[in-house]
Amino acid sequence: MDPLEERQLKPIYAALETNSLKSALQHCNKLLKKRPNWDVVKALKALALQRGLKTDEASALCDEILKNKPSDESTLLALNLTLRPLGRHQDIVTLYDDAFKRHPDNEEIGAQAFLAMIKVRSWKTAQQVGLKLWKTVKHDRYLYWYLMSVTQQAADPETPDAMRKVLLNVAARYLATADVPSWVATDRFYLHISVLLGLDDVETARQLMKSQKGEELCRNSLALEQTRAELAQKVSDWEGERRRARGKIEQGDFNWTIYLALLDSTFVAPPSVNGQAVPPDGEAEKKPDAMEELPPVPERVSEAQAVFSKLVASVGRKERAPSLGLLELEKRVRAQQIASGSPALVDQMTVYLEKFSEKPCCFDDLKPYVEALDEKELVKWTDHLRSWTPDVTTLQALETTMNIQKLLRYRQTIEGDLAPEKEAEQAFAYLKLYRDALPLGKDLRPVELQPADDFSFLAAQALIGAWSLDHQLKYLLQAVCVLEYGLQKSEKAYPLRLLLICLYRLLGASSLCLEHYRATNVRTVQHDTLSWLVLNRATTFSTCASGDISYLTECLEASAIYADNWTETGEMITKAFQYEKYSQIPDFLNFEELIENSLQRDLIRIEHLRMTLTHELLNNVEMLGIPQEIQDLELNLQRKSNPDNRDFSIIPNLQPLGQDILRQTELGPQSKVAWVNVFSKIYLRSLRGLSNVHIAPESFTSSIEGSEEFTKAERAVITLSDDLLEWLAPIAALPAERDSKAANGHSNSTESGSKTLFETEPTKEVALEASKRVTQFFDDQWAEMQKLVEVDALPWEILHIASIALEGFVLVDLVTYPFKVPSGRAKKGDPVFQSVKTVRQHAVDALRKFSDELTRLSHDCGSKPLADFEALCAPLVKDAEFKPDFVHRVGKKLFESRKKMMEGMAKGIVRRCT
Amino acid sequence: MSVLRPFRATDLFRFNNINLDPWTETYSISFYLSYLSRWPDMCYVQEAPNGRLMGYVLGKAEGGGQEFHGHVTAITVSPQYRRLGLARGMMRLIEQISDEVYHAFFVDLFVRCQNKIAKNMYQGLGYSVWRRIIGYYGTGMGGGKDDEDAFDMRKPLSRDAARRSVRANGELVHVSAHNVT
Repeated sequence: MDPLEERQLKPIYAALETNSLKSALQHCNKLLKKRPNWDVVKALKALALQRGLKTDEASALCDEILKNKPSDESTLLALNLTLRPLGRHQDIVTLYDDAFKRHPDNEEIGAQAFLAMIKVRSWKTAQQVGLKLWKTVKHDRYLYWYLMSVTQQAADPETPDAMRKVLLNVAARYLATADVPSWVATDRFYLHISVLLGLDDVETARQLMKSQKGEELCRNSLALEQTRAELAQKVSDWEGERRRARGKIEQGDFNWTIYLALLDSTFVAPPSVNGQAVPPDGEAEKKPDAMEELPPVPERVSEAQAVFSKLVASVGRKERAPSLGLLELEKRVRAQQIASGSPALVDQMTVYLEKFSEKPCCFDDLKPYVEALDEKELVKWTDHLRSWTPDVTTLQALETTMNIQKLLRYRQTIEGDLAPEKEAEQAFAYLKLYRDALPLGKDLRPVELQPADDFSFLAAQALIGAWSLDHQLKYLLQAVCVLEYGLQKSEKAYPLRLLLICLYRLLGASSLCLEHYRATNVRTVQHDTLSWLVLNRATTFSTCASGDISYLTECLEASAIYADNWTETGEMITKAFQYEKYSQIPDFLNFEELIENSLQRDLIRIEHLRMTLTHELLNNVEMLGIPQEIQDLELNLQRKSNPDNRDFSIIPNLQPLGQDILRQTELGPQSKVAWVNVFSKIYLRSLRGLSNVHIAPESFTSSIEGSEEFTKAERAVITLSDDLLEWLAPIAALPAERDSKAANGHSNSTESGSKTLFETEPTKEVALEASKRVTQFFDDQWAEMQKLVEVDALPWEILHIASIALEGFVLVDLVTYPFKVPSGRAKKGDPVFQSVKTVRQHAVDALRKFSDELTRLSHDCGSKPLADFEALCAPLVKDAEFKPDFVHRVGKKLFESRKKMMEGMAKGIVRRCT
Repeated sequence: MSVLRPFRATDLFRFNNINLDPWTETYSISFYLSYLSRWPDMCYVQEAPNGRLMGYVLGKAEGGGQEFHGHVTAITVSPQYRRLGLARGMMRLIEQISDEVYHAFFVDLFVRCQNKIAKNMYQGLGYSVWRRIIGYYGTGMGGGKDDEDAFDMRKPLSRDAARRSVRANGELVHVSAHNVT
C-alpha cells in the first residue's frame, strides 16, 4: 500500500479504534465515492456496519468483496474481523485459502491462512496449508504445525475412523523420515508421541520414551512424565511403574502423583490365568514379554508399608506425604479386605492428627478417611477428638483446636446433634473461641487475615444450619451479624464476604450484595467463575425500571471476559504455534471453547435481557437492540455444549456430612442448561413476534416437567408464555395488511392476501380461553404474594414473585404490542382484539397491587423492624460480647438496603406498566 | 504432600481460592496464556488430593549473555495451605528447569521489602538480595516504603560458577522501577 493510501485510511482506523462508527462510515463513504471498488475501504466499511449491528448490510458488503478474492493483508484482516462475529467462518477459511493459492511463496499469508483456519477449527485445510508451507519454506516448524492439525482432526469425533488412521499414518511417516529428530524440543517430542498414541502404536511410543533422549526429556517435563506413566499403564507395566515410583519415593520425591502411582500399582489386580495383567478399567492389553511379573498383593502392600513407614520415621512433621500414604494404603487395604497387620485406620488417623493438627489443611486431609470409618471406630474417633481441650492461646494451639472443631462438626449428624437449638449453641461456642483467639492477631494490619477467622465462619455456618432446620429468622440475622463482625476484624477474609453476599440476597439487601461483591475485586476470568454470586436470578433484585441500573451494569462488566477470550485466547493460540508449544494448544483450544460456550455467559445474557425489558418501554424499541438480542438468543440455543465453569467450591462447606452451605443459602434451585434453553426460547419467540416473525408453536410447560431447575414462579411464567402463544399466535401468524405498519417499526413486508381473523369459531374460543388463563396468571401470582407476606417469607421470595409478575407483564406487552392499535389483523370490536385490551388492563391493575404492597413493605423497614432485629440478635450482645451499637448498625444498613430495593421495585413496576 | 503438576489453561477456572487474596493479583487471560505459550515448563500448580488448587508458580527465562536467567514472576499459596513447604517445592523445580533446560546463570525473584517471612524463606533456599527496586509495587497496601519497594533476590545456578549473581550489601544498591523490566 502506498503512503498516500495509508494516509487516506488512517482516519478510518482511528475512528474504528475509538468505536466512532458513524465517523468511520462517513470516511469510508467519502473514499468510496472517488474509488467505488477499493476493497480495503469496503472491508472497513463492512466492519463498521457489523459493529453497528447492521449485520445484513455488513454481510452483503462482504459478499461483494469476497467475489474479488482479495489477497492484500489489510483487506484480509478487516474481512476476517467482520466475518468472524457474523459467524461466517467458512468464508474466512476460503478467503485465506484463495489468497495463499495466489501467493504460494508468501510465508506470511500462508502462516496467516493456517492460523485463520485454526481459529475456525478447519483442521483439514490447515493440514494442507501447513504441509505446503513446510515444503515451500523448508522450515521444520511447519511440519509440526501440520502434525498438530492432524492430531486435532484425528481427535475430532466427526472424523471417520478410516480417515483418522490414514491421516495419522502419513503423519507418522513424515516424522520417521524427518531430517531433524523430534527430541530436539520437548514439545515436538510430545507431539510425536501424540501422533503415535493416536495410532495406538504404544510400543514405538514407549521405545521413544525409554530412549536416552526420551528419559532426559521426561526428567525435566512433568507433562511428558505423565504421558510416560500413562503409556506404561496402557501396556499394564504395573511392576515397572511400581518400582519406578518406589525408587523415586525412597529418593525423597514427595509429589503425591508418585505416591498414587505406587498405591495404584500396589493394588492393581494380579495377573489372570493366561498370564495377562488386568488393568483397573478391565481392558486387557497385550503384555510384552520383557515386562516383569507383579508380586502378590500382600507382598506389595508390605513393601509399600515399609517404604512409607521408613520415611515417616525420617521426615517427622516436615512432610505429610508418607503419613498420608499410610492412611491411603490402609483405606485401600480395607476396601479390598486384605489382611495387612497394620494398626486400625482410626488409630493411624489419631497419629496423623497428633502430628499435623497444627496445619490448617489437616481437616481436609483427614476428611476422606473419616468417611471410611465404621460406627464403632467413629465413636472411638469422636471420643478422641472430644478428649482434646480447646486451647487458643497460641497460634499452634488455635490451628489444632480449629481442626478438631471442624472434624467434630463434620460427623455431627451421626450423633443426632442437628436440632436447631444445638446448632445455635454450637455457634456460640465457636464464637467464644473466636473472641478468645482474636488477641492472637491484634497486631496484624487490616489487610492481613486474622488467624481466628474460621471460627467466625464456623459460627455463621452453624447458625445457617439452625435456620435451615426450623426457618427461624433470628438465626439468619445472627449469622449476618457474625459475618459482618468477622469482616470488620479481617476485611480480606473472602469466604466470610462471599457467604454474607448469599445471606444478603436471601434477605433482599441487594445493594449490599453488590457492595460486598465489588469489594472482592473480581477480575477477568473470575467474572465467568464467580459472577453467579450476584447475577444468577439477578432480575429478582433489578430495580432497573426505576432507573437504578447497577445490576445491568454488572452484567455488562461480567460479560466483557467473553469478548476478551475471543481475542486474547485466539492470539495466544497463535503464539503457542509461533513458539512451538504444542503441548499447550489442545488446552488453549479447549479453554477458548469453555469460555465461549460458558453456561454462565448465557445465564448473564438472559438476566440482562430480562432486566432490559423491564427497563425500556417498547415504544423505545430501538433502544432494545432486538436484532442483536435475537442473534444472541439463537447462539444460546445453537451451542453443542454449555460447560458450567462456575466455581461453587469457593465458599468452603463446613457443615456436617450430608449438608451443603451452598444449597442452604441459594435462591431457588440451581439454573443450568434447561433453564437457559427455556428462557432463551421464550424471549426468542416473544421478540420475533414483535418483529412479525413467527415460528412453529412449542409448549415449554411440558418440556420442563421433569426438570428441577425452576422455581414455582418461573414455571408459572413459562406456562404464561405458552398461553400467550395459544391466545394470540393464530392472529399474529396472519399476514398484516400491506398498508399497516406495525407500530413497533419492525414490520416485515407481507406477501399474501388478507385472511379472516380465525379460520373457525372453535379456534377463537380456544384463544379466548387462553386469554383467561393469561389473566389468571396475574391473579395467581398476587395470591402467592399475599400468602408469602402473610407467612413472613424471606424478602427474596417476595421480590421473586413480584419480579416474575413484572416479567409476565413484559411478556404480555411484547406479545400484545402489535395489537394495541386496531389493524387488519385485529379489528376493533372483534372479541379477540377486545381481549387484548382486557388482559392488558387486568395485568396493569394486578401489577399496581404488587407495587402498592412492595411500597407498604418498604415502610416496614423502619425503626420497628430494626428494634425487632436488635431483639433477635440480642443473644450476640449478651453471650458473645457484640456491642449493641454494632448490631444496630448492621441492622440499619440491612433495612436501608432492603427499603431501597422494595421501593425501587415498587416504583419500577408502576413506571413499566403505565 | 500435594500433586505438583504443570499449570494448565483450565486452572484459571479453579484458582479463585488462591487469587482472592490481597497479595495475589488476577491478570488478563493473555497474561497467563502468554507464559504458558512460551514457558510452559516454568509454570506449575500444587494440587491437594481432593483436587483443590493450593498454589502456583509462573516463571520465565529471559535476559541476554551472562544476564540470562530464570525469573519467578508469581508464586502464591492459598492461606489454607501455607507452612507446608509448597513454595519450596515449586521453587526447586523452577531452579532445576532454569539450570538443566535453559542453562541459565541464575534464578531471580522480586519480593516486597516488608515481607520478611518470604525474604527469610528465600534466603533459606539460597537466594540473596541483589538490589532494591524503588517503587516496584506502586502505592502498596499502606505499609510505607518497605511495602512499595522490592528486593531483587538471586540464586546462582551451576553455570554461574564464579557466583557473579551474588554480592554483598545488595540491599544498598538501589534502582528505580522504571529501569527494571
